[in-house]
Amino acid sequence: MGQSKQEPRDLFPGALEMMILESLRRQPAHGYALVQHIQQRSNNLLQVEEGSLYPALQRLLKEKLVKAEWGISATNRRVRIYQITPAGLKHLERERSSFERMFEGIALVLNPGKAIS
Amino acid sequence: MSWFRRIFLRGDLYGDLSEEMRAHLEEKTEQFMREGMNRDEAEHAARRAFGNTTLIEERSREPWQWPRIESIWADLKYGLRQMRKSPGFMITAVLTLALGIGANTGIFTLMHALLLKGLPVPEPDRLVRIALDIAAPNGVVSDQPLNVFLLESIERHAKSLSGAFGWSPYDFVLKEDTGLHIYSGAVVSGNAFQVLGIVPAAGRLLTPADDQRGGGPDGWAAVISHRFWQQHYHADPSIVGRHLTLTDHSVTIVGVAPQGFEGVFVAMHPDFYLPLEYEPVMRGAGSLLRQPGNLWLSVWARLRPGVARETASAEMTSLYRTAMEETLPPAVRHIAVVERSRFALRPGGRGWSDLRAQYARPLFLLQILVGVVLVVCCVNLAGLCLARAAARESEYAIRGALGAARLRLMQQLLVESLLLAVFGGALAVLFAWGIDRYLLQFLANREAAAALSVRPDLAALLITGGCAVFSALMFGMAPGWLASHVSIEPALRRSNQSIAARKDSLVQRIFIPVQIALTFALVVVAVMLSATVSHLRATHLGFRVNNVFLIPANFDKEPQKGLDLVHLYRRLVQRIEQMPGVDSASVAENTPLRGVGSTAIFTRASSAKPEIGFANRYWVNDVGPGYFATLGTQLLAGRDFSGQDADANTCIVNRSAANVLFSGGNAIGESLRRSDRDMNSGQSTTRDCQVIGIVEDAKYTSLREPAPPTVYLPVGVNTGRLSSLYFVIHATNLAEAKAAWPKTLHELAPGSPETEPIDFAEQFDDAIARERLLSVLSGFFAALALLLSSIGIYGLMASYVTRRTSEIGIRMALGATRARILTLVMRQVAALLLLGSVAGALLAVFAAHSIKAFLFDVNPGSLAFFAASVSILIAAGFAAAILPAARAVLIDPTLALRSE
Repeated sequence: MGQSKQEPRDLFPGALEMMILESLRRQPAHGYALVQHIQQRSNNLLQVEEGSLYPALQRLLKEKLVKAEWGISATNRRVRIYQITPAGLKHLERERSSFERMFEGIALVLNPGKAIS
Repeated sequence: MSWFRRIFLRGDLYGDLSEEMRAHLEEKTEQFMREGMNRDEAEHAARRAFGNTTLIEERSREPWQWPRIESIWADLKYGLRQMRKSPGFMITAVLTLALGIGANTGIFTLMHALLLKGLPVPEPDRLVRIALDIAAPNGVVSDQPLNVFLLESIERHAKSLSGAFGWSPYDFVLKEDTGLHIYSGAVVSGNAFQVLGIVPAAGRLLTPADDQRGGGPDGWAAVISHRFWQQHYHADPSIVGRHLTLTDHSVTIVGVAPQGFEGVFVAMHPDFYLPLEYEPVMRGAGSLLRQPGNLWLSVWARLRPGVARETASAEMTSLYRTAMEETLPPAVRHIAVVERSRFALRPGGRGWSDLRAQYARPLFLLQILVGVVLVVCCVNLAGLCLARAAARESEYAIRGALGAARLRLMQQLLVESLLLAVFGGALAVLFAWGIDRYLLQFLANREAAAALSVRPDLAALLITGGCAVFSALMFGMAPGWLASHVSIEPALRRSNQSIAARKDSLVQRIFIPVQIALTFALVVVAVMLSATVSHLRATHLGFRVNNVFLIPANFDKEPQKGLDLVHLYRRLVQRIEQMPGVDSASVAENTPLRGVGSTAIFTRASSAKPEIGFANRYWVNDVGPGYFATLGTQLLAGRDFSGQDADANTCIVNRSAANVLFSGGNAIGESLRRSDRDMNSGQSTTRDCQVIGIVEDAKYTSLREPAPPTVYLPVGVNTGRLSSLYFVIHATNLAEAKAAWPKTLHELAPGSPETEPIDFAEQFDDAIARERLLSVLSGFFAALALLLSSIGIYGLMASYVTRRTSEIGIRMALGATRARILTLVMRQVAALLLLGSVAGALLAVFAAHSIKAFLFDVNPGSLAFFAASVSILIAAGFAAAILPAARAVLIDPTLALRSE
């Protein structure tokens, strides 16, 4: 027993939170929908672990970057629907720009000579 | 999220989370069903994909928590629940700890009060005490006080001191509405409080202006203690300026000493402080103030800032000669005793006390003993907890399986240990208080015992806490390690019994023999110390102690002096002897076992050239007629003092003195010459006396030393402290005789204050107080360790028998006799005892040799004591195993085999 073995987790700390916030920016969703959404948007390249999703959601809740309300899902089930807050939006912007700078840096190192516009 | 919500609505948060995750799982299940699985398959698949829900839930909760604290809190709650579930274990553990920690706190508190506590003055490190170290020819150095002349000489010349003062304890008689009462106090130099640097609680403290002949601006200025101020005046500040009659003279209260200030002598509590110049007013002709040859004044000083104690000490050594030249009469400046002495500078920041010299080493020994007891307690508990941990192994395996980390499991067990230690520690404070009350009864100085503050203070509580944490770590570590190293799978699969078997052998191999070894050493120490006390009690004293009581006379205020006073004593003795309950009575200047006595130089009057020196010093005591009969000391030859004035120039010697002085020849009728030299005037005098009797040897100041050669002189005008002799009374009925005393006193000496009778038997007990203290406490601690070891052995053997019930059943079914079964069990115990004793033997030998100084007539290498100790251990060990052994013997083979 114990935690599942195939646990690639996030690429780097904060990536899952960023994806959650981005998904929620598009539309509020509950946990299960979030998993589905991220999976689809990444063309099934990213498999979100529930084991990481819920702790991440709780962290975001605590930081007041998202808020949650009980509602009814498309399958007519009582679910907790998460919504991004203004603070969450701001946080997402900051994270995104720093992520992009980092990505740019990594790309430069990996592909020397090729500039990225 | 507000703090409030985080803490108090956490239940809601967690509820939401659980529900949310359940919904998630269901959705996932439905999706799998849509993909063509049946419900069961889908549910399993969803669960597998989701992972460990409990763990995820716990991790999701974490953002809301202070994880470390909360996990400890959870452990605490769980630990408390565990304790409630096994009250027997909890009570045993807490009591064990309470005794172990309490003993440590108790001894430490006393040690702190007596040895370590600093005086409540600013910069106590700069305070020093200056003493005169007088070396006897045999090398023994005694620490003596100084006098005013020496103090003044030091003040004149010393450059390393910023101030010096004299201090002498003095008992004052205060006239109150209810009569005359004695209060302790001190006469001090006018600058004493300034040098100490303390601030008054009300009014002012003494100044040099108060310390003048005839008194200062306020007449005779008196400072009272804070305690006296509260108890007698309800801390009323307006009492400053009030007059009191203190030892027959009027004094003015000028101020109140600060709270907690008890002078510079540890374990005394002075209520009155008066200037030194008040001493001759009270003592009159007997005053010591202007005597250059008497040593009576304790001298204290403050080092100049930045001056090292070594520097000041060197300066004192170099000042000694000058001080002697300046203060002593020429005739005695160069006598041997002066040449052999020197000034000694000692740290004064912690005050000074005779008790310190007497009790420092015994307390240190006790501290070590209780330390060992605490270790035994911990080892015992470690064994106990280990057994419990073994029993709870499946619990740990399950927790491990559910994802608990190793450290987390270890933490749980340490928290449980700490919890026990906290309870134990709390109880220990109470126990320590009890121990100290009991301990103080042993202090020979009863007033000091009452004055020593042994309330548990911060230092003591810190020690208690330290002990608790130390023991929790000690006994929690092993089971903690064990729990964290449980291998999950086999533990879950195997039955409990087989695991327990493995753990038991570990306990057996280490913990029980360690306890036995430590206990062995404690028992040896206790046996030797108790033998010391019984040897001391059995020594031939040369006098009786039972049914005898002493009354110190206080006849300073009687109009009679000299020979008239001698006659007053005589009349009082005759009167008290007529009283009911009294068998016989007498008086003496010194009584045995008070720890003090006088010496004088005696030579044969007939010897051509008397050699005066240390070798001719004899103990001397002035006694009245009937003294020997009253104390039961046998008269071997000649006669007792007759109580006639004609006996003034006679003396009685004891057997040792007769042997030394007259080389075993006939002493009766011979003359002795007593030579005295007055250190104040430098005059030498001699006086002859005729030996009229020989008495048996009797101990004098010390029980440990052989009875010293002693010369007894008749009480008379030459007796040194004629106004304060001791009445010695042998009673047929103690209570009646004691009741008769005040009547006799009021009848014949109405102006004198009543003094309390002292039981001689009690004084004897006081004389061996140190030894009794050590014997009783070491006995108690050894018994405690023995009890703990027995519990350990009992527990181990009980589980051994339980585990082997079926094996024993099989053996019996195959024809083993009950005797063989008994042997089987007892062999285990014997192995444990053997291992422990062998390991403990070295420790015990070491312990026995390190207490050599405390022993009397006991050879620390004597095998008998070790044999006795081993027998005690063996008896205790087998006694502890009797119940389990009986259970083993009474096993019914058919029942035992059926249960398998």
